[in-house]
Amino acid sequence: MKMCVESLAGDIKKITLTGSLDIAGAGEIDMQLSAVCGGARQVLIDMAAVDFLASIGIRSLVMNAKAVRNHGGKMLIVAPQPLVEKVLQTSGIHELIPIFATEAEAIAELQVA
Amino acid sequence: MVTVGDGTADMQQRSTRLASYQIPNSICGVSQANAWLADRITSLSVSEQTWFSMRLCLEEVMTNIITHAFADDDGHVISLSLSRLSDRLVLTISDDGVPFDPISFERQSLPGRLEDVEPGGQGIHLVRNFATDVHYRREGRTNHLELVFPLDS
Repeated sequence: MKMCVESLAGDIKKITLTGSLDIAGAGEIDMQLSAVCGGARQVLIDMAAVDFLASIGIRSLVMNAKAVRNHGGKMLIVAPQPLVEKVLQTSGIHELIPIFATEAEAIAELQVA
Repeated sequence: MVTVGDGTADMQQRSTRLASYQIPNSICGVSQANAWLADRITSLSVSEQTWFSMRLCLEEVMTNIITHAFADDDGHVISLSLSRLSDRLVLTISDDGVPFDPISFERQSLPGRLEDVEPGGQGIHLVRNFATDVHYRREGRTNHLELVFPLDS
């Protein structure tokens, strides 16, 4: 699992994840993800290149979304693949971490917030 | 949506075993199980969706067993087997841990606010939604969980 962080206008951190967010993948990015989310106010997680998501990955997303929320920010998910989105919807996480089809829509949402 | 129940005896009579594997109950076992299943699946006609569902269910069940099933620190073995039943694949996961019937597991609904969410509790819910059928039985000191998936034509 790979993780790339970019700073976008509007104090937004864009985190691009690549690979499988399974028990092995989550272990590879957990510390880096926590470090970024611990200090970011607005976070956009680009999941277009994530081909697999298990509950350990959901746990990681939720814990970091809580950290962002705890300092007044917001986390959004962008462009998950269909089966990954099905996992997010089945678990109900999409109601807590909103999903957007495109980066532009997610940025617009963060700028309103 | 999954259908659940104890239909295992009927399945055993008509299925063809394709492969089996034994894994120690360490957290590394989750990745070992995934690699074993990936190797077995390559020769079968399985859609991307079915493979995703099998991989997800195996990871969730293995994680659950390794994390919760054993009250002692002794070594235990988790057994996997893959069988073909007409147009379906049956993945059986067996362990000698504490009795646990995931079919009777009641998932707590998520709170409406992110601040109130506690991690965990999603794995079994995902298994029940991504497998076509789930069957559980306890035989002696062993849990047997059978997960059924479609085999594409």
